[in-house]
Amino acid sequence: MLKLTIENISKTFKDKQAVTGFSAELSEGVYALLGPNGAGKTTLMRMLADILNPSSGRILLDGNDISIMGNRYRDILGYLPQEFGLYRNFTAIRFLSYFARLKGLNKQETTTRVDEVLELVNLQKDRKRKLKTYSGGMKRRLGIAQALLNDPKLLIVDEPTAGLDPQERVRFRNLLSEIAGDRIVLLSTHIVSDIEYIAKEVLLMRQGTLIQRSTSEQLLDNVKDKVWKCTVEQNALSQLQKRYKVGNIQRAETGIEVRIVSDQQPLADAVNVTPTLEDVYLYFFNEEVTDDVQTGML
Amino acid sequence: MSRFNPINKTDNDELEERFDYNEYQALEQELTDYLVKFPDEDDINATIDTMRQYVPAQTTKSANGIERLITLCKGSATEVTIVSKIYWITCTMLFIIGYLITHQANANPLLTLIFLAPLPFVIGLLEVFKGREHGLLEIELTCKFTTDQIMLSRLFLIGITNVTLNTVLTLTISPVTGKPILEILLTWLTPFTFFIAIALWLSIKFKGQVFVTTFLSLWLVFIGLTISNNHWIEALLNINIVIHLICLGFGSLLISFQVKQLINKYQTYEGGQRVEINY
Amino acid sequence: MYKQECYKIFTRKSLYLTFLLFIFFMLLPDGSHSIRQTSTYQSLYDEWRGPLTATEIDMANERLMKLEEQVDREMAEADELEGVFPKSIEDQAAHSVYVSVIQAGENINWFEARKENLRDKAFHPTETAYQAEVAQMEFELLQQLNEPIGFYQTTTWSSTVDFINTLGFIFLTVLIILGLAPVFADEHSQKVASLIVSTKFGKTKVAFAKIFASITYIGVLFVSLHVINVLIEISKFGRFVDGTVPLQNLYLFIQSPFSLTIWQYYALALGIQLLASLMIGLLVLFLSIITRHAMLTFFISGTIIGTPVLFRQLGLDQQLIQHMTQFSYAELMRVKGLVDQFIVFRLLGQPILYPYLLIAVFLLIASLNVLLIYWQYRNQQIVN
Repeated sequence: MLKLTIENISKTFKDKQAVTGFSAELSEGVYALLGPNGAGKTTLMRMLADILNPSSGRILLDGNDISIMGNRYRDILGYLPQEFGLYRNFTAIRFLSYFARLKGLNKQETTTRVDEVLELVNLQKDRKRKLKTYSGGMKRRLGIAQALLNDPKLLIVDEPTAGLDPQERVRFRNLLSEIAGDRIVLLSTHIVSDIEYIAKEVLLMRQGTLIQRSTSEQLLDNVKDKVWKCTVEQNALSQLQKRYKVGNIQRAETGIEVRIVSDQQPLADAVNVTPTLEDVYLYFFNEEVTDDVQTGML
Repeated sequence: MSRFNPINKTDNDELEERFDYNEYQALEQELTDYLVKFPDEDDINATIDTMRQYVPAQTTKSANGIERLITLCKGSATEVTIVSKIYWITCTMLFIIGYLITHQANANPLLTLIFLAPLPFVIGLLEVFKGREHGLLEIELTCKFTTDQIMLSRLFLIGITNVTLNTVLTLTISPVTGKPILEILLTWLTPFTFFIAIALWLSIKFKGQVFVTTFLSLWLVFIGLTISNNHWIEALLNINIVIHLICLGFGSLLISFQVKQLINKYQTYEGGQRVEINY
Repeated sequence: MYKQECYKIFTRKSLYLTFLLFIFFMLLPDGSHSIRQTSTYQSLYDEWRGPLTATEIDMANERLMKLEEQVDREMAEADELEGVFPKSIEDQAAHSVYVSVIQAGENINWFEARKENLRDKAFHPTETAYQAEVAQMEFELLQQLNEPIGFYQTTTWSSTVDFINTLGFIFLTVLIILGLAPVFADEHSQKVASLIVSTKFGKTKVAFAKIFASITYIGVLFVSLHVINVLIEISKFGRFVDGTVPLQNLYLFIQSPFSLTIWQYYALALGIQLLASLMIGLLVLFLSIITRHAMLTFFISGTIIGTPVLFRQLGLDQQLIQHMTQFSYAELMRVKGLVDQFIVFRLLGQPILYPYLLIAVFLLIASLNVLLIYWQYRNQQIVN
């Protein structure tokens, strides 16, 4: 049983505290890191990927400090950063073979494994094309393939579905759930629907700290009976948006149908509806009413 | 006033009363004679060709050219603030270095001038391609002033800056060398045009880092070779004026060719697609 | 891994472009036309070739005098003063041979005088013990040379050997910097660094793969440049002859105290230049890691290598600057400065020959460099 322990890690850049005292313990399964832009998700993941040293705190894998494990840690690691480049004049095969060797696969393994991952991300027929001819989605998929090359026990993917079309996103989601069996998968995203289906637990992160950690069901419990739906006139909308966290706005025949996350019933004719993770996101991360959230939560 | 008066009831009635079918037919017949058929294409073309000689010669062209020049100048003027300060500082430094070296006794001022002449332009090319290097091409292309216009005005700006600096330097050294100013001007202008043409070509082909380093290497090697070889120095400094002018013309031609290529390339996105990848 | 690193370097078009342009520069004529390639000269040369005796030198002097008289006569007869005198090819060839022989004679005398001077110095009581020791050292080196100077035709050799410290030095340096500056830096500008560093060998082996690929690049570059040069030299000046005569017969090395034949020197110089190329390569790689920017690397390494050359060119000769020049990458790369004079440095009271010291210093720097590259690469942090 694999266990990744994050022990009170912090990272300070010159003038900015990116991650502050983050602690968590992860065992096998898919974890989603959810938070608004600038919450420190990427910095945290970089530290987990051993490409950035924490300013303080430790990361342990089965009790061993990863900075001491070095090679052995990275051997079981698959990492896909949010933004990455590819060598334009490499073909997919060359690119993957290069990374396979970097990941310590031998010649034999490289050939078979490269084939496998290409199949997995559906790039088999484009494998001999130069990467400069790849579309955004294909590049992303190749990145995913790269991360899976060494059959990692710990897979860290930062915004993996950004830039994928809906079909590919579903494929990728399924792929993650398929392979999640006996490994730790940590993915960050702000596309909430990604998580809903596959994540065992969701880590909510804001301003560099972990604000909550729970299963998606528990998260939904947070906003149970707090999601309302009502129909209002056009001119009432802006008033509403000032006072409440307004989610989906949809034009209906009788007026405008709005979804509101609020502790109290916002309007007389508002009815309670089943919450989604999107409402949870709104509940925790709506900028304008941040203070409310904190008091409401803690 | 509209010819088709709104038909009110009384008019209509009147019409009905007075309507005579025979008269109508006669009228129709008469009108048919006036019918003009739509001419076929050949006729149209023939007519246009015939008429073309009567079209006044395009006097607007020069005005247009001047207008374009004015737009270019205006564009360049706005670019002055956008071009990074470091560039202006570098230019000033280069000028000071040039001044110091040319006024040193043991350095040949003309050679120094030849060597230093293209540098401000080449470094300036980095500024010209700033948008391309930072992946702004796509956005720039959709703006009112498109990439090629922006590039052109920047090229114009750095070109003018470069030539001005060189000319000022020339003026300061002319008493030292005792040669007529025009000759000194020509001496550096000819190699200058060739350097510029090469730099432009490289800059179109390669991304900023590669082209600046490549160009500077070639430039350094050229200097090294020239200094170590008296034949080259003589060849550079004492060509007769006719050959000079021919070379100058050829160099200018090369430059204009490159500029044209640059404009063509950056008018569309595919042309300028960058080496850069976002993921 | 190594193969792909090579692929990255060798697929850069701008390198080929620059290389080709350099070859083009090499092919440009440098304005020297020589009578020495005529058969008349050759037959006369065969007659005079070899070590020279005093009588031979006197004879050359006599004949040259006659020839000069003839030239004066020809010039008086001719209406205009333009053109080459003497008029006939035979006389031109003879003139060339006699002048060279006389020059060689003067060099022989100078060499003997130098030895004599050193012998005096070594045993003169007014010199300090250290100075005497140095003089003794130089004298012994010269003693090994016997009588090195004669009359040999070394045009092809001298031009080939010269390439090492002139164009070869410039081209190699520039191409090494151009080629290797992006090796580490481009991983950052292409945003692949985070992918690489997070892999198993991404912090360790890949650094060495890159270093080996860089070495391969330097090797290929070095060999092709010199092979092309040799071919060009042959086409310009004819076959290599007289490579087995002492180095001192090359004009540039006339002061050299080392007992080497020309081809031995050439081989040695190639070896040292290759070594220097590798060291420059390591410097560039190191800068490439710490700057993470190819252009910055280019400028900084260019400054490090170019500044001493510039100082020399400007004729600055303060003690400190002279030392800086002597112990610079450029000087090592040009090789000539190591061999063409007798220079010693005092180390722990002992005189030590400059080339040995220089190579030792740079071997030290290079090994330090490798360590620094590895250490720096291992501990790199990726922030964006």
